Amino acid sequence: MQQNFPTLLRSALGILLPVSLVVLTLIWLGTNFFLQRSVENELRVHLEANGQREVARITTRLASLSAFARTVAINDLIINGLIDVDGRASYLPTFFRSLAPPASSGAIVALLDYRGRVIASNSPGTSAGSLNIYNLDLEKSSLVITRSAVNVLEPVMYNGFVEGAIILSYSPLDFPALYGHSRFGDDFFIINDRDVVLYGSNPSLSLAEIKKDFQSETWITVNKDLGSTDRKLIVAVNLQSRQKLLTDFNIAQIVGLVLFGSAFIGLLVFAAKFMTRPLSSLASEISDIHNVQGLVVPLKVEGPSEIARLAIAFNEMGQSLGAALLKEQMLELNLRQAKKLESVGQMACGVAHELNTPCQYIGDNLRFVDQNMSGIFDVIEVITRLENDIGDPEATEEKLQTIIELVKSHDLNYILKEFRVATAESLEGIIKVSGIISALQEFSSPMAQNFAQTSINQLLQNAVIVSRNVWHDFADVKLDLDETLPEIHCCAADINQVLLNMIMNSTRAIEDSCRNEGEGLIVISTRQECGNLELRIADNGCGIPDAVRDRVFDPFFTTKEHGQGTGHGLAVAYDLIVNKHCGVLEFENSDNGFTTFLIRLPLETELPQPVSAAVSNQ
Amino acid sequence: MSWLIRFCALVSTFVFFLIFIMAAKAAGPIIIGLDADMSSGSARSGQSIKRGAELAIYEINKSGGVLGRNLKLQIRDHRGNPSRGVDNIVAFSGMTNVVAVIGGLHTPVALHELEAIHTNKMLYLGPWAAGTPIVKNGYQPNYVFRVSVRDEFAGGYLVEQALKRGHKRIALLLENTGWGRSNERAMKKALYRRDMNPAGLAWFHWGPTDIQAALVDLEKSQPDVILLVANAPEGLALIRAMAKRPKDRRIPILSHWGISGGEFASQAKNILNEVDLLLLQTFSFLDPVFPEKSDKFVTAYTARYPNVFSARDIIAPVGAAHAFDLVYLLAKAIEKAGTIDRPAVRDAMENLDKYNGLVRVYDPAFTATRHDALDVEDFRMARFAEDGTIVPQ
Repeated sequence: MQQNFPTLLRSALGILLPVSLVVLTLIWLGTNFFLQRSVENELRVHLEANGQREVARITTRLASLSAFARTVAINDLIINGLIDVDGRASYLPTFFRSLAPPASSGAIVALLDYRGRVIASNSPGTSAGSLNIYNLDLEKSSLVITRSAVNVLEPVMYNGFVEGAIILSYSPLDFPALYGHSRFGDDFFIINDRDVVLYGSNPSLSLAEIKKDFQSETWITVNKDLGSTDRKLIVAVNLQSRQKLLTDFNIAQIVGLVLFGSAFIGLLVFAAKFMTRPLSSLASEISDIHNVQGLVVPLKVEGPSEIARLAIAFNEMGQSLGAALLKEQMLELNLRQAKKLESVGQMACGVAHELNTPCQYIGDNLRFVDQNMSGIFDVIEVITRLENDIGDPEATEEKLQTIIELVKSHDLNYILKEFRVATAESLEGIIKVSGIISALQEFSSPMAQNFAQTSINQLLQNAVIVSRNVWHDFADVKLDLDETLPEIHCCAADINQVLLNMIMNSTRAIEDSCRNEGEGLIVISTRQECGNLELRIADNGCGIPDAVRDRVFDPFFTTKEHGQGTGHGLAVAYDLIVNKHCGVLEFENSDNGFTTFLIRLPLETELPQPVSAAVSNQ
Repeated sequence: MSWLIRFCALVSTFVFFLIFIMAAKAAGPIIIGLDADMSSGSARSGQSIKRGAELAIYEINKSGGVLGRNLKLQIRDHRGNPSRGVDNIVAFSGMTNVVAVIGGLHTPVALHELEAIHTNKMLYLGPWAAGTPIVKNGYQPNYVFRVSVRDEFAGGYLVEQALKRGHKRIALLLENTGWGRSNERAMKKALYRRDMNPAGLAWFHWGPTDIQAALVDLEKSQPDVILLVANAPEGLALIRAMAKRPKDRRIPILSHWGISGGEFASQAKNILNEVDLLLLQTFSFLDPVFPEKSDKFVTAYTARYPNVFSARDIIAPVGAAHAFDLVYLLAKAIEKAGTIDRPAVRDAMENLDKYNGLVRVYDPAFTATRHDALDVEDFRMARFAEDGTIVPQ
C-alpha cells in the first residue's frame, strides 16, 4: 500500500490525521463540555418558562372545566330541573347525556341539590359518595384536586342564591387526558400544600426519588402555584435524559464524523490509489528509461485525465528530449571523437617527433658509415689483393704500406672508433623507436577497447610516452608508481583516453601559469588505498578557481578563450571514470601550489554500483 | 265538713291547675313551622305568610295559647327549592312540639315535600301554593290542608275571566314545573269544556331568559290574551319584554297570582301601565269580606311591622290572610284534639267547627274529602296599581 500511496498523503494520514484527530477530539470535548453547561443553563431557563407554560396550560385546561361547569350551571334546564322535581326526569337525563365534558368523556357531570345530593348526571348510579364531594362548599365555585378525583363545582344560582351545584368530576382514570402531556415532554407533578403528590404525569416516576436526586442535580424542577387552587405544579426535567439527547447527538456526531472521516479517507485512498496506480506505473516506466532510446519510447497513457495529460506531456517531452539528447549525444560523440582525434593528433605529432630524433641520428650515423665506408672498402680491396701476393714479400710489403697509407689517409682508426659510437647510437635509436612503436601499439591496440585485466602503471607509462610531445616543452613528468599495484579490470582505451586528457589538462594548466622552462612539473603517482586504486595527477599549474569548481566536469565548460578548448576533456574523463568504471574523479587544490586530480578505481573484479561523484576541496 | 270538702276540692283544683300550667310551661311552646321562600325570588310571599302567621299566633298566645301552651313560629327558608323544602320538613319532623308546617308559595316545593310530610305525619298547611296535586295527592290519610287557590279551580276561573273580557284566542304561557303542568291541565280542561283549544302553549324554564323566548314562540300563535303561570322573577321578565313591544303588539295578560309573591310590583312599577295585566287574587284588605276583622288585622299589622301604614302597604296580602286563618284553624284543631299529636290534630282539622275567618267563613274549613278551604267563589281578579298595590277589580 505504501508504494501505491502518495507520499504527501502518507504524511498527511500518518501524522496530520492523528494530530488532527487528537486536536479535534479535544476541541470536541471542550465544545461538548461548554455545550452541556450551556444546555443545562438554557434548560433551567427553559424549564422556568416551561413551568409557566405548563401552569398556564393546565390552568387553562382546568379553567375550561370551570367554564364548562359554569355554562351548564346557568342553563335554564338546570335551574328548572332543581325546581321541577316531578318533571325533570323527562329532560334532565337527556340533557346530561348530551353533554360532552372537556378532556375526557369519562368525566361525570352531575347536578347536585343544595346539600350535594345527586339529582341527575350523565352516568347512571352516580352518587355523592362516588363523587367524593362531602368536603365541597357548594356555595362557592371551586376546583378541588385530590389524588382520587378532580372535582369542579359550580353553584347553580337562582335569584342570587345558590340552589344547587354542577359537579364535574374526573376520576384518576381520566387524569392523563385531563392534565394532558407536557408540550415539551417534561414530567410534572401536582402536589398539595403538604407536598403530597396528587398526580404524576409519569407513573413510574416518584417525586421523592426526584427530590433525592436533587443533590446530584440529576433533576431540575420548577415549582409553581396552580392557578387559584392551593395546589402546586412541579415540572421536572431529567437532565440525564436531556443530556442523553445531547449524548446521542454527540454519538451521532462522532459516528457521523467517523463515517465522514472514513468515507473521506476511503475516498482519499481510493483517489490516491486511483491516481497512484497510474502514477506508479508512470514512475516504473520512467525508471525503466536508462537511455535516450528508452526516453523516446512512449509511456502508457492511462488513469485520470491529469495523469494521462502528464504521460502525454512526458511522452512529448521524451520525444523532444530524446531527440535533443540524441543530438547532444551525437554532438558529444563527435566532440569526444574530435577530442580523441585531437589527442591522437597530438600523440601522433609527439610520436613522430619522438621517432624523428632517433631516426635522424640513426640516419646521420648510417650516413657517416656510408660516407666513410670507401676508405674501409679501399683497405679491404688492398687486403683482398694481398691474398694474391702471398709469398711476395714486397708486394706484400708494398701492399701493407698501401694499407698503412690508406689507413692514414682515411683516418680509419677514428672512423672505426666512430663507427662503434654510431652503431651504438643507432642501435639505441632503434630501441627507442621500437619502444615508442610498442607503446603506441599498446596505446592504440584494438584489444584496449574491451574490459580486461590491465596494468595501470603500464598504461601510465605509455601515456606519458605518447604524450611526451605535449608536456615536454612545458613540464617534466615524474612518475611515482606503486610497483606492487595489481592489474585492475578496466577498459584500457578509456583509461588511456582519461590519462591523456588529464596530462594534457595539467600541461595546459602549467602552460597557462606561464612558468619558466624547467619549473613545470607533473607528478603522477599510483597507490592502493582501502581496496581501491588511487591515481593522482598533480601539477603546479594555474589551479582551478573556486568560482568554477562546481562546473569543472560539466561538458563544454572551459576557461579557455573561444576556439582554444572544447571543454570536453574533463567531462569525458569524468564520464569514463565515474559512469563507465564506477570510479571516482575529484580534484583538490593543495597548499603547495599543486592541483591534484584523483582517480579512484575499484580493485575488485566485479564492478560496484556507480558512486556519485564528489567534488572536494580538501 | 262540707266547707272542708269544698276547700279541699278547691285546693286540689288549684293544685291540678298549677300542675297543668307548670306541665304546659315545661312542655314548651307548640311549634308551628314555616317552610317558605323567605329570601329569594318569591320572598315577599314568605314574608307575608310569616306576618300573617305571627299575627295569628300573637293573638292566640295573647288569649292564652292553645292547650295552655303558647304557639311559636319556627321559620325555615326553602327559597323555592324543593330539596331544601324536603329537608325543612324532615328537620321540623325531628323537632319536638312541632305540630304543623305552614308552606309557601311554590307548588313544586310542596309537591316534593309530600312524601316527607306523610312519612313523618307532618301536618302541612298551605297558604299559597295552588297546585292541585298538593292537596289531591293520593295520600291517605292526607296531611295537607290548604287555605288558598286550587289550580283546578283557578284554571277555569282564568279562562272564564278571559272569555268574559272578550278574548277568543287564549294562549297559555306556563312555567315548566308541577305548578305549570297543574295549571295546564286545569286551563285546558276549562277550554275543552267550552269546546276551545289553547291558541298557543309555551313553556318556559325558571330564570329570566327563557320566558322571553317562550313569549316569542307564543306570539306566533297570535293570541289575544295570555294566561300566565309564573312567579315574580319570570313574570317580571315577561312584563318587561311585553312593554318593549309596540303597543299594538302587546298582548293582555291574565296571570296566576305567583307574580305577586316577589318583587314584581316594586321592579315593574314603571311599566305596569304599559301592559294590560290582571292577576288572580283571593282576599284583599282593600275590599275585605269582613271589614271588622280586616281592620283589626291591618291595625295589628301596621303596629307590628315597620313601614306599613295602611292596608295598601301590606305585601302579598293573600299570603298573610291565608296564613292568619290557617293558624287559627290549626289552633282550633289542636284545641279540638286536645293534643299536639299530629295525626290527632290532622283528624281534628277534618272535623273543625264553623269558623269565621279573615278570608271567609269556614263552614267547615275542611272535611275528610275536602282539604281545600277556598273555592272559586273566593277568587277575584286584581290589577297592580302604580304604587304596586294589588287592587281588586
